[in-house]
Amino acid sequence: MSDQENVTGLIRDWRAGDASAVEQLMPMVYDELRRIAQAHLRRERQDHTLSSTALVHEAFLNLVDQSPPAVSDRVHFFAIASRVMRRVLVWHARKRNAEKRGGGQRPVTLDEVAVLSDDRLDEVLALDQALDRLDALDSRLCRVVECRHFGGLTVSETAEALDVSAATVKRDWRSARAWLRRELDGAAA
Amino acid sequence: MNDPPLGPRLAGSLDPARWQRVKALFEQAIELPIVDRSSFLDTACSGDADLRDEVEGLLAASEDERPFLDRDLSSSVYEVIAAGHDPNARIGKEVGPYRLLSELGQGGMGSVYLAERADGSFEQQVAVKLLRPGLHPDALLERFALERDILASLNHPHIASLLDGGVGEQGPYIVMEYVVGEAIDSYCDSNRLSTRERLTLFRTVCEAVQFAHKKLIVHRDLKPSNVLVTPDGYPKLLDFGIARLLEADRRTASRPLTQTGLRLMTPEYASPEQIRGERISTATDVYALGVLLYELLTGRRPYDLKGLSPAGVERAVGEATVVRPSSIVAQGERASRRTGPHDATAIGQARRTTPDRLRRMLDGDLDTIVLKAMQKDPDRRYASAAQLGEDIGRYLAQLPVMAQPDSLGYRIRTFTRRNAVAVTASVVVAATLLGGIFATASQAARAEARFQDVRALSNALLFDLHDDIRDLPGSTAVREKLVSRALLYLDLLGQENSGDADLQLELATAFEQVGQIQGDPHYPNLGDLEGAEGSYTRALEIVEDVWRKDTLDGEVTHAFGRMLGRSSVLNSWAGGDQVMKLSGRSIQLLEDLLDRQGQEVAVVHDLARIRSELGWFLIFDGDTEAGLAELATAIAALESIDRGQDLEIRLDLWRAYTYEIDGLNFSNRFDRSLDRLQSVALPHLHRIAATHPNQPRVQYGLHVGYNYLGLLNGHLKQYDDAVEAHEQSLGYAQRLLEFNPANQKGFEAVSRSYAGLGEIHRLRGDYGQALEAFEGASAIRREMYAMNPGNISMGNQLALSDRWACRVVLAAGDYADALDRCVAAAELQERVADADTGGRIYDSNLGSALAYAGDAYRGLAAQARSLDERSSLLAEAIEWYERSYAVLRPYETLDLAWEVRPDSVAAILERLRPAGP
Repeated sequence: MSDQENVTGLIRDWRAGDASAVEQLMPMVYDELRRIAQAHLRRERQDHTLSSTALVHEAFLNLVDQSPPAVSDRVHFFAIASRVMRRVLVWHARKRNAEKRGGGQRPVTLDEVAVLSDDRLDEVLALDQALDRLDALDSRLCRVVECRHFGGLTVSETAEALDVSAATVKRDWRSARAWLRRELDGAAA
Repeated sequence: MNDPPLGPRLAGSLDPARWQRVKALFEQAIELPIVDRSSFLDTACSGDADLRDEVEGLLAASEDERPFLDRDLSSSVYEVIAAGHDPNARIGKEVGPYRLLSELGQGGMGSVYLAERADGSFEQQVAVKLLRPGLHPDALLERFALERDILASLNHPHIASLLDGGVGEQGPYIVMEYVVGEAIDSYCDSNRLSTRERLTLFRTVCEAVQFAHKKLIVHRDLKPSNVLVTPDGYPKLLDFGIARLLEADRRTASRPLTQTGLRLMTPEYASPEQIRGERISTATDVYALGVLLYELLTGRRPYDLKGLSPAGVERAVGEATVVRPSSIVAQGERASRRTGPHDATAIGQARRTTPDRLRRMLDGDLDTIVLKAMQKDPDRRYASAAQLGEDIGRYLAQLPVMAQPDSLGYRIRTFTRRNAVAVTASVVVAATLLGGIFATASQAARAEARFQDVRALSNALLFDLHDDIRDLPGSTAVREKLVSRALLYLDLLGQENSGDADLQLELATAFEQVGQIQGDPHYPNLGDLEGAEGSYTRALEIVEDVWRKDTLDGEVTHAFGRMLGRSSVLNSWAGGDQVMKLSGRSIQLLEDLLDRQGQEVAVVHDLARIRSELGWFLIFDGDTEAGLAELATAIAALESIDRGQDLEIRLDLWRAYTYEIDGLNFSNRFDRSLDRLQSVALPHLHRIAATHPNQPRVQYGLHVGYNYLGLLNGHLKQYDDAVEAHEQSLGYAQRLLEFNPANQKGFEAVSRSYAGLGEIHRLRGDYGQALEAFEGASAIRREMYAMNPGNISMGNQLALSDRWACRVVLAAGDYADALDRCVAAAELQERVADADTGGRIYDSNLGSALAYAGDAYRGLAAQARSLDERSSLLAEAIEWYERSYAVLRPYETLDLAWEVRPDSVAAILERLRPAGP
């Protein structure tokens, strides 16, 4: 089976309720995202403004073997990519924290300095932990935050990706924001 | 009180079920004005203080004005992902006999490092390019051995030489002369080179490229970062021959862009043939030089490829028209295209000039030179880099340049020759071009040459382009824009030249085309029947005038007859009363013409089409036999001219078959009908589909064909076959909407399939599914009818699915619900029948709807609790049945496939009346 058939099949499996499909998909999605991002960065060294939506879209086109691709597969792919993005950021933040604590001998590269300030790094880590708790409490809210905050999806894209209405996404986003804010303020207190 | 915080306070205290309550209350409370929230929570939490705390905590958090989760992290993700590699780990490592000193940059093929000899035998610093894994080392070495001598001969002062190559621990590598310099574009800007200075520098680049070309070495990846300029102003070309070396890995070589995924080239500088994976030649480098020159002169890129998919890139580079350099410098800021300074003023300043002077300098020869180098067709570019350099030399010496702008005729030909998608994309450009020519023409007092230009271009737009794109998915709106624009100019010309018969005929044909796009039911159309009638009327007026001047002119007579026929078809669809008159005249004209001039295929075709439409009209008008006779004539004529080539003939033949099947069904000859469908019509259609798989009209035909098959199987009580056929039909209908989400016929088709499925479910007694399907059909039709109340046929279809929904509810025995639906359906059908002055079919539908309302009252009467109630309900029932019978009675003697037979209504009335008041 080609990678493409594989990805399409895994998206379908996931939609059919097979949670392990996401775990298999995430590394493939990550590799593709990285490949594209690097290709763009090489070409547009000083001007890399490719939006994450365009990035994910291109990854989707490369990974999925349909023409034209099914809309429903596309939006589900976006939801998965949003989770990949959350994981990537958290991984990055942990690595940076480990380096700050003295473990890393190597200098931080320019590329990385530009990415996230230390404040933002801490925010990402705290948010990630809070999101794990929210996931246990109300996983749809967690998915909404992933799509909106990490994946950069709009309300309507999120709604499509999660098979709910735009009104639900707006409501969920409001509730999740309130919950997370209180949760993070509480933890900081 | 002094307990340390226990970490996140809520994590343990809330279980998901309780959280759902908290969330629900929060969602309600937040919608309330702040002053009302407290009392709401008093009631809602009623003593559960914890619950109230939770909700209030959320409310307070959501009122917090400080920013939170406001800036999404997705852009950071992008950078983190992109930075997820570690080039610096290689610094200090040895590659072959070289030690890597620092990273110089990254290219599509790998990273480049500054390096020195590890054994210290030479002082010389070199550039080492580490190639990305994935290229096969053995093949690369083999290739390298083959090419080494050729590359070594590439000894030119403006070309960086290749020194060595091999495979080391770090993978395959190439060693090149290390050049200290700046990319040519930024060098020009930072040194504020004038346009003339840029051209002079660029000429030197052309000479170096020509030197390599003479040795048959093509660069394949020319771009600013491969053309460095040393601090003393000396250009040096990097990477000559490298791209070819790397194509040793044949698996990725010469495959289209869509497959290699932008890997081995830089799309902004890649030529159309490169992107398509076609043969590469020295012309490929000429193209890239053209792009480079474009950029050096304008500070912008010719294409905006950012964010495009590979297919999008292929289209943009292969098909999109390049904006002239002089035009792009006049345009406002387009951040995505800028390559250096941001705005027009800064671009001008970097060339020691103003935007306006720059524009004027580029306008003319420089535009022509750049665009010639960048021609899509390699054969139309400069024959060599030397020629390009020479033409620049001529420009600098103020001599006439060799390059000439494309002639208008050439432009028109290329419009129509390029593939269909490109045509669509070019339409806007073409229309603008036309506007420009016309404006000039008015100023020049309609100079004859310009007049011919406008006319030629208008006609190209109307006929060549229109036909080329007609069947393209999604092209309806574009076609309308295209044709109405062209029409505007032709109309102006026509008014000023009313004596020119040819021009008048073109004009009439133009109106005919517009009418087709607006509302001809046989083509993808905009559903604007009124507009279409207006356009056809206009076409008829004009063509009739021309025809009267010479009634024996074959071409004009043909056009006149054809337009009469089209008007007649439209009239029958719009429920008009001119059908017989228009089609009668049309048939007579065309028959006379055939008698006079012999059996010309185009005329036979048009005549047969008109007969076929007339046949269908007659069937719906209740004269089935006359209709079938017309259809038999039409089918024979179409079969005689169908050579399997002409799609239009084949589709018209298919349509005639379906009309014939309609007629057979109307007269209850179902077995014959099923036989014709299965043994003649559907095989014919599948033969068309085999050669035209993506043709929307063929898809539509398949939809209709399987719909018929479903209907017939339903009649013959073969329900499984029927459901299967309707589902196939629905699949084809949905494909139409995939082609073009705005296609009216697509929606109509989906609704038809729903209705078909609903009917089978009803026949099977599955009323729930049946109702759902009919309501689905009605929802689509209601919207379409509201959009265009003049579409009687749509009104009738809506009334039909509404009525059939009634029938299901009646059968399910829910008479109260049925009553409302039936009365509404009858009223709708009445409005539709009123608006219609044509076919009797609407009357028979109205009769059915009225009878269903009677059925509903009768059902309610049967359930009535009191005798009084019962008799008043029965009185209502009788009234509706009487109205029904009054409508149906005139047709009682006709042998039609009645949904509600007049005699059954009469029989019910007979039974009920004695029980009446």
